[in-house]
Amino acid sequence: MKRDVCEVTCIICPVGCRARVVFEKGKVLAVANVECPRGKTYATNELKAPVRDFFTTVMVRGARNRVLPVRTTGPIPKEKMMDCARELSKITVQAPIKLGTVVVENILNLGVDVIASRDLEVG
Amino acid sequence: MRANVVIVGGGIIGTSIARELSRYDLSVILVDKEADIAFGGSTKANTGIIHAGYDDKPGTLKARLCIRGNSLWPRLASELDVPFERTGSLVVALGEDEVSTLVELKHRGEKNGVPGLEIIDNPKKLLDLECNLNEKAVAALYAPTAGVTSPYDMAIALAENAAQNGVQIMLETRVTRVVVERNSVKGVETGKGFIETEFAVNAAGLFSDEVSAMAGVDHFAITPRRGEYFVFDKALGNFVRHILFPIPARLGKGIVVTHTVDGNLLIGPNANDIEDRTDLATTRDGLEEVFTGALKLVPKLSSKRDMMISNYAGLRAESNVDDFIIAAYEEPRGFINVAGIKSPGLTSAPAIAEMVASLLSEAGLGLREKGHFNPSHRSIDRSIRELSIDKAEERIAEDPKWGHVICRCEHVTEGEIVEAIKRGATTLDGIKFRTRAGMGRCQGGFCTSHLIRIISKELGVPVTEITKRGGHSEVLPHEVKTLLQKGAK
Amino acid sequence: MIQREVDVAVVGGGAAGLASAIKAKREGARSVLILERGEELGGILHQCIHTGFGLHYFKEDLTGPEYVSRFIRAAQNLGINCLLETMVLKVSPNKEIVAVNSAEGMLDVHAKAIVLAMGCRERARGALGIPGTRPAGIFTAGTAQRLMDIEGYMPGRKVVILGSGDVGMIMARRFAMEGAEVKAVLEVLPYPGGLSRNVVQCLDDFNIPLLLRHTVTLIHGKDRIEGVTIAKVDGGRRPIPGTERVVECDTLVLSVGLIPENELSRGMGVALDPGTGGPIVNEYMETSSPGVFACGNVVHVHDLVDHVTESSEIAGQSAARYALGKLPPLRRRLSVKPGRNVRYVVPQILSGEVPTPLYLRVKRPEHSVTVSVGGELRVFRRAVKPSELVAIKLPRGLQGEGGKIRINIARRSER
Repeated sequence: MKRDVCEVTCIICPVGCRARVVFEKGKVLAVANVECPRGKTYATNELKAPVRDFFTTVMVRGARNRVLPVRTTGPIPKEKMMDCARELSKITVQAPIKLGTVVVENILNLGVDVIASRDLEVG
Repeated sequence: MRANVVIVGGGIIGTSIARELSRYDLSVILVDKEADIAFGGSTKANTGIIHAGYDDKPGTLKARLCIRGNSLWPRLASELDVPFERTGSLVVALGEDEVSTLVELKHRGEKNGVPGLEIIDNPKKLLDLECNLNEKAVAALYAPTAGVTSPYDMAIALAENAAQNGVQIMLETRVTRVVVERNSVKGVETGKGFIETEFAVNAAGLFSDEVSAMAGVDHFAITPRRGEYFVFDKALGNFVRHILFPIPARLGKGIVVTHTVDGNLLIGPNANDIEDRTDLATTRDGLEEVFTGALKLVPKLSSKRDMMISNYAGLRAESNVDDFIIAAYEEPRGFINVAGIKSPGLTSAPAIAEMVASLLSEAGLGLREKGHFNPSHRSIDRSIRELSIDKAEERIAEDPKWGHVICRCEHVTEGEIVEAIKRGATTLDGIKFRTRAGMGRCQGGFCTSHLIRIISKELGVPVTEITKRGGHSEVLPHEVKTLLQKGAK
Repeated sequence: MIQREVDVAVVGGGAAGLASAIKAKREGARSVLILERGEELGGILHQCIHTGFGLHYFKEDLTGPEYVSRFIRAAQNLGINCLLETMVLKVSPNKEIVAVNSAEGMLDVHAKAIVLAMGCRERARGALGIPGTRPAGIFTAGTAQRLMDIEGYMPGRKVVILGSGDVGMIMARRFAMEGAEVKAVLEVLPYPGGLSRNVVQCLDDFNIPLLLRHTVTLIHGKDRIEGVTIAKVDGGRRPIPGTERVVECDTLVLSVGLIPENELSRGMGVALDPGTGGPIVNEYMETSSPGVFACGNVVHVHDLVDHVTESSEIAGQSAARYALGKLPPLRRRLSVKPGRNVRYVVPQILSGEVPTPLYLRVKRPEHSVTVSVGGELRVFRRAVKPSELVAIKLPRGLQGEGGKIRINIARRSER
């Protein structure tokens, strides 16, 4: 019965509780040192399947700016961030663009879309 | 390529000579290895002082040319539209034991012909003149003819006026050989080709011994002597009204406290000999030395350290000969040295130019005055900064770019920046020295991205090729996404 | 010179300027004019492409551009006038603004009320006095961010970042995500300068080393930067001899301080607070100059844009009321003073008669503390740190003592 303990800094709110997660054979047994239930959920997920909000830029033609800020409609697995970054480095969009426009649908089959973060006019 | 005269070096000395020779019916080519005028280690990085002339040993070239140069500066600055302010200077004695040095300097100055020297030995009067002066000051030598200017503004104005009057300026052009045949100069070999000429003038500053040796004249050596400086925010206001000198140090005039002609407080330089003539690094100890030295004159500066906006270092071309090396030679004929020009080089520059013209004439170069020489030069307009509302409105009506402010610390407009590019700036520093964009308190934080856009548009160059000051100083060598596409690290 | 008369003139069209202008218009100001020096409204938020904005104000997790776009659209819908690429050159104490742009030349705007919303600038290398050469490749973090995320160029590929404030850490992540190598983030203090969540998401996630108690002591490289000498520092921030080593890099990013941009404020004689670097304001966000209000980073540097919006709305509302002659003068002026472990408080002047948001910044991190507002109000906080603005809602009815209210941070066991 070997138990492991891992420490995870919760990022849900500014307090930044240092959660102590006790797990055995890949199963989370307990989460200590968190001040709220959201922290417990976060710490558990962080060890099992960490996710992150994802945002970057894509090249854009026809506008005053050369790049357009984009974000995903939901979090993605942490280990997929650089793959998404590389995937998005291949595309160029055309101005004008409206905030919320889908730039890439279901990126890398992760179940989230990549959308424009702002309006961008022709310029 | 061919010219009557080739001038090697585009600092304050080379450009002064170029402008002087442009009065005459001659073809003149000025070459410099850097990407722009005054980009070497001396002209753009000194204190900008026009000295009164009491420091130099009577009978030396330095003494004579400094006095003559000082008298020429007001008219030159006016003709060329370069800022110059006769602030006067004070050499300050902080103890009774230093007063005898003031007396010595005064005598020396009078021997040299310096007008108006006066020893003020009333401490209260000194504090009236300079409210931030150390209260321990017992006396000071006042020299009314000393002043401040912008050395790179002057070098650029001289170059532009020379070019207006027919001088050809070749930048990024390094001299590799001085060709001498049958004991006469035949031309110079450069990275951009051979220039045939009978007269080569060596004004190569830190490299003047190397160029001189190319012609077989190797009786001197240049050692770079570094000086470090601090610049303060204009918001500090009028901290000092005159140029303040301490009693002269072993290696030079000491750490000075002055305001620049643009209104920033400037302190420095110290003096340290170094090996590498291209090393313009400041040092922690050196900067401390400068700050501590300045505090001796203006102790109240100690609480203003947070108003520093910049520091930099310059190199003096120190020779192992005790005077300027300005001479024509018999071997080879046609070679003129203007070497080892350090302080009072800036002050002496117009007089040095006159002297070089004489030397050339004596060496056989015919000097016939041009009928159409135009001594007048207009610097880039500063209507918004100087807030002359009518002038500004006129300018903007003619060209809307003069209403678009790019550098908001110094209120420099797109009009001025485009004009600087038209006049030859191709780099960020080139624009900075011609317009002051990037010299303000945010030090280019806001304007850099705009300047890069403008350079790219005006010169049609890709952003990735734009440099800070030529060579390999590219600012943005990669487009976004290209690093990701290069694959896994 | 073209002359204009407006009810409310707002200097700056970023988050603060937009929020105050919108509120002023909604409060009944007949004419509201924004003067913005950039090419579009939105200010710095357009280049903050990460999420974390609007958690309080919209209860949503938005990117910077998403957040500010809502205000830009609202301003357009309300018919707020904007002059873009327009530089305000000076403001006189009698509320006359001199500005310039390409289209109209010199402009003269007479406003009944002014809102100063000029934001802040970054501390540059020169102000730090780092010795060494002055090559290309040294950028402040905000400039690097603009170059990367608006202009579309990489400031470099092998990066050292000095300063672990949020902007520095966010840029570390951006560089990594664009394929650059971030060698280290250096922090002179013994703790990170920004939020823990950023240490995790910007540094840990990308295996970027955070070197606490370290600084840059020398810059190398002639044309382009080639490396930096770094060293460990002691408690007095002095480099410890023998700990120096050279880190090769082609880019140095500086995230070492933000300074409220008060040139115009100084020029008009508005009283400034040396603790914040910005104007002293009362609960209306009014400065020492009647009818001149201030909000956003020009007053003090914020961490969350939500707080900027909150206090900018107060400024805008007050400015409109002032312009309409409907802003009563404060009947009492209680001076709010920073006490134990408090670096500054805003607003610095209160009447105590209306509920007011109070913001403060602490000097040192502490756990389990009570924020004591003049002894009349005590608010518990689990943790306070210098990198996180503390926001407290003050109720009405504060009395103060001898015309002052002292704000102290006390440890829970101390009463």
